[in-house]
Amino acid sequence: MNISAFREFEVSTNELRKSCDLQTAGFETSADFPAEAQRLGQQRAIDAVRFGLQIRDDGHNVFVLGPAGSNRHGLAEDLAKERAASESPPGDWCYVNNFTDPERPQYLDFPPGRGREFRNDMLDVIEDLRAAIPAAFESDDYRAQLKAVEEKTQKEVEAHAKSLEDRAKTENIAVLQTPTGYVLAPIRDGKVIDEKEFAKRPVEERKATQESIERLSEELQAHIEQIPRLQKRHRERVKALNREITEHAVGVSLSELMEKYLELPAVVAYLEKVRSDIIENADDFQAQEKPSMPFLRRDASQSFSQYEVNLVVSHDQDAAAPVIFEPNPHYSNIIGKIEHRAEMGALFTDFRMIRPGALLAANGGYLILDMHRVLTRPFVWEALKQALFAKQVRIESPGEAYGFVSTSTLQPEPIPLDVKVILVGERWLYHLLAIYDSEFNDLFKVAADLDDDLERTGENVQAYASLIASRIRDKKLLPFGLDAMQKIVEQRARRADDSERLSMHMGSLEDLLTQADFWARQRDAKTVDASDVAKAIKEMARRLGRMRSRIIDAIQRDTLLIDTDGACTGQVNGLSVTDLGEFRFGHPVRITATTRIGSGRVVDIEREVELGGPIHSKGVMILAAALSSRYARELPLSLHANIVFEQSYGGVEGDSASVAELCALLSSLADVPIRQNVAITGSTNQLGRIQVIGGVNEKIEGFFDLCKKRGLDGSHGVIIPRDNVKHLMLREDVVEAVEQKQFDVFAVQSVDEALTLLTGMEAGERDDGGEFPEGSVNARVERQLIRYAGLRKTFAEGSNGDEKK
Amino acid sequence: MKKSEQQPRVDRIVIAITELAPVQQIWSEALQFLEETRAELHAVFVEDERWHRAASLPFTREFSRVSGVDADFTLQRAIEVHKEVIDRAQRQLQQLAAEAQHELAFEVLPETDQERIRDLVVDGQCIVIAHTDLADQPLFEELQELGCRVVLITE
Repeated sequence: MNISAFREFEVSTNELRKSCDLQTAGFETSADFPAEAQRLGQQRAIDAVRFGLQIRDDGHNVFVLGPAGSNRHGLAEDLAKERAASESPPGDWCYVNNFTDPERPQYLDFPPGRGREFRNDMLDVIEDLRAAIPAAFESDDYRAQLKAVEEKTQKEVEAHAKSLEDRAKTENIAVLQTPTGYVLAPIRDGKVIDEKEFAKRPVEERKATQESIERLSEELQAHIEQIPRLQKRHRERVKALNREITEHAVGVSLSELMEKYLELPAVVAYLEKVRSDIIENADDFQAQEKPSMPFLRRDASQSFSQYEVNLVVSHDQDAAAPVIFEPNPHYSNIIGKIEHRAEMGALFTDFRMIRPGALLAANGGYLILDMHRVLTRPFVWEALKQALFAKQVRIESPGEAYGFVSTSTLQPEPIPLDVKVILVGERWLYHLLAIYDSEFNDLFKVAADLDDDLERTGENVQAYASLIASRIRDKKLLPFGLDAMQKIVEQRARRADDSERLSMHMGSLEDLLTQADFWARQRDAKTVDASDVAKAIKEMARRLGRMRSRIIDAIQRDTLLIDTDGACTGQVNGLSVTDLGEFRFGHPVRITATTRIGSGRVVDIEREVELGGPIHSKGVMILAAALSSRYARELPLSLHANIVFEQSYGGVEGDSASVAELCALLSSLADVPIRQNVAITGSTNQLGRIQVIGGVNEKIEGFFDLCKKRGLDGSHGVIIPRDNVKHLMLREDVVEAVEQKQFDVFAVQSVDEALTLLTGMEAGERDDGGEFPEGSVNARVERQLIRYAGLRKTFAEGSNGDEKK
Repeated sequence: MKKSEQQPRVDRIVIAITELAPVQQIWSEALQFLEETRAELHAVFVEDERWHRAASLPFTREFSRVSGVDADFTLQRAIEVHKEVIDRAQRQLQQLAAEAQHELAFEVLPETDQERIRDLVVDGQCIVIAHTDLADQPLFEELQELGCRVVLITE
C-alpha cells in the first residue's frame, strides 16, 4: 500500500510553515516602522523589576532571570535608570584621619557636591598652613620670644649652679666641670691642692674639708637632679610658645572653614580636631633640617598629609541617583580596598589609600551585577550578602574579613549602606540559590522572570516588527525591506520552535540582523531583502554544519547504515537532533528490535551499557508497559526483547524515539516489515497515545535532506505527533517538495496510526469480544505473545518433570 | 669685655688658652690683631694640673651631669679629662682658624715650662692674648719679665 494513500494523516502545506504578512499600509522598509520600546512581551518581568525598585522594605532586592541573549542586562539597566532619573542624587562620602586612632579612619558625609568642595577647601587650607606655620616660626617675633625663654632657662640653670659654686667657695671647695660631670676638690689660694699638700693640713681642717665635700656632694647631686626638671620646664615653655604661635597661624583659616560648614556638625567637630592636632604637633611643622642621608629626608608635604580628605564618593547636585553596573565584580571592585605603597622594603598605608568599590559608588542608588560572575569570584557573594544584611560597607581585605591575617592595617569606619541590588542571571542559578542558600531568599525577594517567547498574534507581530526596526536603527544597519522583515519574523517563530510564538532571544535576533546587513552590503545593496536574510541563515548553518555534513556523508557512503527504501522487520528509521547551541540539525538513526521467548524483559541496550540517559530509559520502560497493557493481558509477558540505536556510540537521551522503538518491537513480534522510506518521531505513553517531542522541524529536515540526496520519488516522508503540527516552521524547500508531492509529512495521535502508516497494514482494534481483526498487526503481535506464553509454560512443565524424574 | 693692654710691635701672636678660657672671645681678639699685623699665629694650651691634684686625693669623686651617679675620680680618669679638655680646645681653635683661613700652630704647654714660653716670645715682638686667669699663673710673671705685650680677656 502506498504511503500516500493515507491522506487523512497528511499535514497540509499551509500547516508546514506559517508565513508572516506585514503588508501594513504605507510601510516599505524598516525605517518606516515606529520606534518600539525594547521590552515587548516582558510585561511580567517589567512589572516585577519596577515593583522591586520601588518597594523600600528590607530584602526586596531583585533577581532578573532569563537565558543569555534575552536582554536581561539591558532591561535591568533601563528600568533602573528610569527609576533613578526621578530620584535626587545621594550624598558624598569622605574618609578623614582619626587623630585619636589613625588605624581607624572616620567617614564624613556631605550633601551631594559638598564633599568635593570640602576636600578642595582642606587642600587650600593645607597649602596656606604649609607656608604660614613655618613662616610664623621663622619670624623675628618668634625668635625673640624663643630667645627670651632660652635665656630665662639659662639664667635659672646658672643661678642654680652659681649658688652651689659660691657656697662651695666659702668652704674652700671648687666645683670643677669635666666633659661629663662635676668634681669637688679642695682649694687653697684658688688652686686645687694635691694629696701631699692636703696631708700637711691639720687634722681638724682635713676632717672639716671632707665633711664639706660630703655635704656639698649631696647638694651637687640635688642640683643635678634639678637639671632635668629645668630642662623639662624649658621644653614646656617652648611648647607653650609654639602652641601659641601655631594657634594664631591656623586660627583664621580654620575658623572660616568652620563657619562655612556650620550646618554639618560632624565636619565642624572634625575641624576642631584638626586645629587641636596642628597646635599639639606644632614642632612638626617647623622648617626641617637637611638630614645627612638624603633618602631618609622626610617629605615636607607629608607633614600635612594627615589633614587631607579622601573623597571616596562624590555626586553632582544636578545628577540623578546612581545606577552602577560592575562588569568585573571581584572582591575589591565590589567592597573596595586599602592600597599600600612600598618604601624601603616595607608597606605603608593610611586613610588616603582607601578606595571605594561598586557598593559605595551605588550607595543611595542601584547596583547591577551578573550573578554568574559574582559566584565565580572568590569571597564576593558572602561579602555582598554581609553588606546587605548589615546595611553597611566595611572596607577590608578578604584575609582580614575571614581572619586569615593578623597583620595590623587600617580598619576604616563602616559606611552606612542604602542600595538596591539587581542580580542578573540564568534561571537555574536563581533556583539553585533559592533552594540551597537560605540567605538568598531573605535578600532577593523579587524575581523578574523573562519570557522566552511571545504569542504570535497579529498585534504582537506588528509590535515585533517595530522592535526589529528599532534594533536596526540602534545598530545603524541598512534599512530592511518588508520581505526581509517578514522572513525575520518567520525565523523568530522557528527560533521559538513554535509557529504560534516568536522568540524573545534578542541576542540571536541581533546576530541575524547584523549578518543579513553584512550580506546586503556585500552586494552593494541599499536595503536588506529576504535573500540576504536567507543567506545569513544559510551561511550560519553552513559554518556550523561540519558535523551534519559528515553524518550525511557517512550515511551516503554506507558507513552509517540507513535505508530509505524497501521494508524490514524489526527495523525503523528514528530521528535524532544534535544541538550545537545556536544551531541544531536532525538526522535519521536506525532503531532495531529483536524478540524471542523470555521472562517478560524489554532490554534497552543503550541503558545496559550506560549510553542511555534517564529520560530515554523511562521512555523504554513506558513502551514496555504499553506493550504489556495492550496485548495478552491475562497471560504472563513471556518475551525477551532487545532494542538498540544501531551504530550510536555517543549516548542517547530523551524519549522522542519511544514510538519508533515500540513500532520496531511490534514489527518484530508480528513479523511484519516496516517501510524504510519513512521516518518516525514521537513519544508514547502507556496507553499508546503519541505525545509531543522537541526539534520537530530539524528532524523532518534531517530525513528530507538525506532522501533528497538519494533522490525523492514521492514515497518518502516523516511521521510526527499530531500535537507537534503547531510547531512546524519548515524550510521553504521542504514545503515546496511537499507541495510537489515529492515528500510527505504525516501527523498521528496513536501507535496504531503509526503502525498503519509504517506497515501499510491495518493495525486493528479489538472487537466487542476483545479480539483483534484477523491479519491485523495487533492480532499478529498478540498471537505471538500467546505462543511465547505457551512455549514458556511447556518448557517450565518439562523442566519440573525432569526434576521429578 | 675689659682689656689690659701694653704697646705692641708684633711678629707673632700667641693665643694662650687655659681650661677656663673663653676661646671664642680670645680668638676674636686675636683675629683683629692678625688683620692689623699679619703676624704669625701660634696657640698654646697652658696646662693646669688641677685634675691630677684632685685625683690624688682619695675622697675625690666625679658626679655624672646626666644621672648624678658618682664614681671615684682616679688618676686615669684625670688623664682622660685633661686630654678631652685639650682636644676640645684644639678642635675649636682649628675650626676657627680654618674658617678665617689662617694657619695655626697648636701645642700643649705645662704651666711650669718657662723655657718654651721664652722660646715663643723671645724670637721677636709678640702679643700674648689670654684669659684673665693667666694673671694668676707663674707664666704671667715670666711674660712680664720678658717685656712681652699681654692682652687679657675677661668674659
